[in-house]
Amino acid sequence: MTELSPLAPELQALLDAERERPGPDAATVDRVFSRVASSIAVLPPGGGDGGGGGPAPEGTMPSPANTLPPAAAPLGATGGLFASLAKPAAIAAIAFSGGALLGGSVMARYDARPAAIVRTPPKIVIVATPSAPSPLPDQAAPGASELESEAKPAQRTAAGNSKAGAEPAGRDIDLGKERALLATARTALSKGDGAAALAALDRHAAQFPNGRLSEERASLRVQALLLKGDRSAAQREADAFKSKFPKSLLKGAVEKSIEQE
Amino acid sequence: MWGVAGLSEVSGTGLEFEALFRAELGYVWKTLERLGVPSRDVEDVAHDVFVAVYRNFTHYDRTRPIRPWLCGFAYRTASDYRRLARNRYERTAHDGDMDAPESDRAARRIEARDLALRALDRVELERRVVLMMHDIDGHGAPDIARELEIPVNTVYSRLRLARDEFRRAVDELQRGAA
Repeated sequence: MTELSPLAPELQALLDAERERPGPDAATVDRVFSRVASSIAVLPPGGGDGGGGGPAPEGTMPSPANTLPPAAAPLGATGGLFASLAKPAAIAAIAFSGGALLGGSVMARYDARPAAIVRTPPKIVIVATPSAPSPLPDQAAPGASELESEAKPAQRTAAGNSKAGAEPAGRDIDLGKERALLATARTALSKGDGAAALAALDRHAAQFPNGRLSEERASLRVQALLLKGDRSAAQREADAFKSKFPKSLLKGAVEKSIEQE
Repeated sequence: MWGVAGLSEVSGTGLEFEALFRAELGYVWKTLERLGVPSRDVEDVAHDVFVAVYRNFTHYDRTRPIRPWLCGFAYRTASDYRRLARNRYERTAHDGDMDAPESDRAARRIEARDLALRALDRVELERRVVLMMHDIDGHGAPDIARELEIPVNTVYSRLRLARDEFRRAVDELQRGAA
C-alpha cells in the first residue's frame, strides 16, 4: 500500500512557508567555509571509511530541482571570504580559527575506526597495527613550544630511518609538530606580526620541507608577506603556490588576497 | 548532473567542494534547523556536516542530485548532536525566525514558518526527516529510501505517521495560541 492522499492544503501552506525560510547570510557562509577549509586541510577527501557522520552514499535519482544551478554554484566562487582575506584583521581571524580547529572537535567526532586511531604522546613509540594510519591523528595538540623544542632535524632523520612498523606513530608526532609550528604562525598573524609569522613558517620549512602541511604553510606565507608589506615577495610566493598546488582548496584565498591587497 | 560546466572534470578537488559548499550551505542550514538543531548551534553542526561530506566526497555519484545525499549527512549529524543530553531543548515561539517583519504579509509568513518549525519539532525525528524530504524538499520515496537506507514501504508508512503527527502538532499549537 503506497498510495498517499495529498497533504491538507493548510498544512502544505505551512510547509511551503517553511521552505522559504532564509538561510545564512554571505558573511556566515564565508565564516563557515573558512572553518571547514581549516578543518579539512589535514583530511584526505573521501577517506572511504564512511566518515562516521554520513551515509554510505549510493547516489540518488536525478531531479532537476535539486541540481546545482549555474548561478548558485560558480566554480571557485570565492568572493566574500577571499575579499576579507585582503584585510590583515580578517587574515588573522581566519588563521586563528583555523589553527584552533586543526586540533579540534571534528577529528574526535568523525574518526570512524577506533582501531585506526593512533594516540601517541610525543615520547612514546607505539608499534603500529597492520591497519592504515589514521588520517586524523592525535587530537590533543601539545603546546607549540614543547613541540618546537622536540622537532629537531636530527630527530626527524632518526625517525625517518626507523622501522616501517613505527612509521605511523612517528608521522602522527610529526604532524602534531607541524600543526604546532603553523599554530605559532597563525597566532602571529592574528596579532598582526608578519615577521614572527614568517619566522615560524621558516622553522616549519626547515624542519618539514616536505611536510604534510606544506600546502597550508605556503598559503600562510603569502598572507604573512602581505601583512609585512612585502608585496613582490608575496606575489612570487603566490605564483609558486599556484604552480605547486594547482587544485588546492586554498588557491582561491591566495589569489584573492593578492588581487585585493 | 550538477549542471555546472567543468565541475565533474575536477572531481574531488577543493574547487568542486567549495562550489558545492557555497551552493548548498543554505539548504543544509535550514535542514538542520528543521531537524531541531537550535540556532546557536547550527553553524557548528553545519561545519561538522560538511567535514563529513568532504571525507565522503569521492563516493558521491555525480549523476544524481546532491540534496538527498546531503540530507542524509545532515540527518545523521543532527541525530548525533541530539543524543547529547545537553543539546536537548524545546523550541520556543519565534526561536527560529528573528527577522522583524516588514509588512503584514511578511509577518504572516514568518508566523507560518514559526508554526511549521515548532510543529515539526513535535514529530519524531526519524519520521520528521521523511516528511521534510518528501513534503518540503520534494524528493520521491525511492530517493528517500536510498539515502536513509530504509525500504520504500517504510518511507510511506513513516510519511503517513509524520503527517498525522504534524497535523496534531499544528492543531495543538494553534489551540494553545488561541
